[in-house]
Amino acid sequence: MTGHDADNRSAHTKATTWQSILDRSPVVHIVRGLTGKPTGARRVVAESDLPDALSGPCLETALRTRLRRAEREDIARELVAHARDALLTGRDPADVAETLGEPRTVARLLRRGAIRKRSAFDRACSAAGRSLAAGFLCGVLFYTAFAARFYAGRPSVNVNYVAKLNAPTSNIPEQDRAWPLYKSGFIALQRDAETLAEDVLEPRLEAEDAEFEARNQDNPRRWTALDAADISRGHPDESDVRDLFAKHADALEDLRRASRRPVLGFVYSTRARPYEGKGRMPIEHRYDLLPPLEDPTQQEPAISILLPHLGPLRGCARFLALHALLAADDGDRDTVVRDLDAMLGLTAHARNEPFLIGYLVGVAIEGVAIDTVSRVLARHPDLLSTEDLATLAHRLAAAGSANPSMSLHSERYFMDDILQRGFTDDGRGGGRVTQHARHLLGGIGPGKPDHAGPLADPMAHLLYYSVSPATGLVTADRRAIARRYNAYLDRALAASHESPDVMVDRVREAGAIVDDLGRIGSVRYWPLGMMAPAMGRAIDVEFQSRTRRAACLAVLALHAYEREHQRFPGSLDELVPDLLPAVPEDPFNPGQPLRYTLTDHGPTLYSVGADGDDDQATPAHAKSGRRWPRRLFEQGLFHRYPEPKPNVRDGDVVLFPIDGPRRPN
Amino acid sequence: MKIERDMMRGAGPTAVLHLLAAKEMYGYELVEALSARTQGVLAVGQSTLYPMLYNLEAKGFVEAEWRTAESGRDRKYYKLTGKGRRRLDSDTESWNALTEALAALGIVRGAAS
Repeated sequence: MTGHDADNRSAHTKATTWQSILDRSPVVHIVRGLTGKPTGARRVVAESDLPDALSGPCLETALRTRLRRAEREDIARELVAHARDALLTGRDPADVAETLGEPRTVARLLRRGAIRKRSAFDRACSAAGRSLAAGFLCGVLFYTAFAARFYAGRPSVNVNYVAKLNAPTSNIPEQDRAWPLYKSGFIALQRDAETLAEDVLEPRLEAEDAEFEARNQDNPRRWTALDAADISRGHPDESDVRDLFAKHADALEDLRRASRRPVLGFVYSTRARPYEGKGRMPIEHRYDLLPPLEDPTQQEPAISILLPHLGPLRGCARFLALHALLAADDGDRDTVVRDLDAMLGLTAHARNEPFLIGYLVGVAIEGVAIDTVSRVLARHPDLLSTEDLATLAHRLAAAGSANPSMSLHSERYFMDDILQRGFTDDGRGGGRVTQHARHLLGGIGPGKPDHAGPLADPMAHLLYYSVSPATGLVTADRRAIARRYNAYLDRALAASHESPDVMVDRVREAGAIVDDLGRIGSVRYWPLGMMAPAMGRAIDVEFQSRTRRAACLAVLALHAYEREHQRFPGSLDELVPDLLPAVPEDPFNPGQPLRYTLTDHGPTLYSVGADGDDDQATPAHAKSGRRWPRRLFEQGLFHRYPEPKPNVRDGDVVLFPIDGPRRPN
Repeated sequence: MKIERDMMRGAGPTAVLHLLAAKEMYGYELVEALSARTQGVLAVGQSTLYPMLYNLEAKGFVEAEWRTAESGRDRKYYKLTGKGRRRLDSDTESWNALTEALAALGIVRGAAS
């Protein structure tokens, strides 16, 4: 025995006092740590006033156990108590120290015993924690290795797709290229047209609008003539527009000459010519590009090509339309035919552009031309000769058949270029995504080390570079992406040739290739979401274009019939086969012809519209009390098929006359 | 006299349980008691005692409790549990049988009482 009597034990108090609990709490531990005071086992030993010969081994033993803080503290208390009791017996500290044993060995034994003392649940949690930690470590190692592979991936940029886009026109002589003439003519006209619009036409329209609001009456004029490409004798803008054309007769002639050249000849480039002047960029600079670079590694991605020529092409069509309408009012049929012919030439040039947006601009230009033909015929039914009608019909049919389908090979180039710049190349069409892909596709993050964009913040950089390799973990192989993308374009193009009732389903099926991928698929094929063009809308526009063209050809045939027979036919069937190969079909009523009625005011040609029922040529917008729309097709085919939707608006699509029922003169 | 570690591993826990069967004891008290009552034969240092106590505690044979004396001195007291008592009874029987067997062989001089 040590000499401590049992009597003393009665005086002992329970150690689990509030002070003891507080002493062991993590909060107290942290506070003590912050104040520089020793905590845990160190505190126990420091407060023990043991001689150094004993406090050192006790502390070392406790710390070497590498147990939890509370466990180490408990062991330290017990060792200290043991040493104190030994000293109380009068033993020399050095002798006591010897009995303590070698700290490393004792700590190992104590650790083993202390761990056994833990509950089964505790030990299971510890094992699970260790497993998780090991798993996490393995994951980190794997991710690190993968990240190294990801960042080591280098794309091989071998093909200059901008040069490929320019290849078809590179050998075309300058005198066969339409764009230089379009540009010079457009610039001459547009320079004064902008001044006219800003200084005269728009302020005048604003004043008229204010007057309209005050009178609260219908006002058919809601835009300037230059915006609407529509004008007629007595229009408020007439004299100003006539002055503009009189001043720039040469420019108009340039547009007509350009429209007869075989190719557009615009040279695509990704490099805008810098403008270093002050104020608004002069019109001469807006359409200038620097020549493309030959080295594909220096060349920007093809998807970055600039298309400053598309706006001027539409502008040229508007000028020609206005000029034709004024010439029609003047009875100048030769000029009308030449202007309409030039517009159809513009249509062919734009539609032959090798990408979807160019094609759609061509469709829009053709729409302006068709509207102008319709207006000329509606306003001056007797102006054009039978020969003029035939010439326009042949030219319109030729413009439509010159490029009967959308050309998407630039869209394919764009994807191929992105893949060659964002993915590695295994030489067999495959390859894995690299760090460059997201930057190319407009994702976040720096593409170059000196990038100083939104991720200039170092933490954002760190996060970006840490997370980016995950892209490589999930992104599909280069070949798989290209295959799916091309399948989508192929199916969509095939759908565009279907009849309208089948087309919508086919387009949706095509869209599913890139849209209905599920959560995992949409992540694996994320470049498709950024690159795939919206073919549904494009096909809808294309089909409307086809319908309007067919209707316009029918209207030209109706007037040719009227020239020959001094009356309009009782039905469209009478036009076949001499003037039309077939009666045009109603896109909203497959198998049925467009509706044709003849009144005292002349012929009317219409479709039953998206709701599918015949409203006797009453347009949807008229039935709803709205003014005439700028677009004939307020609702596309997708509102009609496969089933008419309950919210489809009642009414028909009137294709001729486009400005509403003709009023008696 | 020093006992082989393997023999100590078998006898030590039984000796500790036996001491605790009489009364609660703290670590140093156990060291002293083992040394004094076995004439040093079963003397253990703290490096052996405390891991042994932790193992006994882990198996539920003993319980430990910190107490503070009026002097402010902390000690951790160990006491036998019911399970420990049953284990002690079992071990005691085993040791008796072993001792008798060894005596029968003439290895030990007489059976333990």
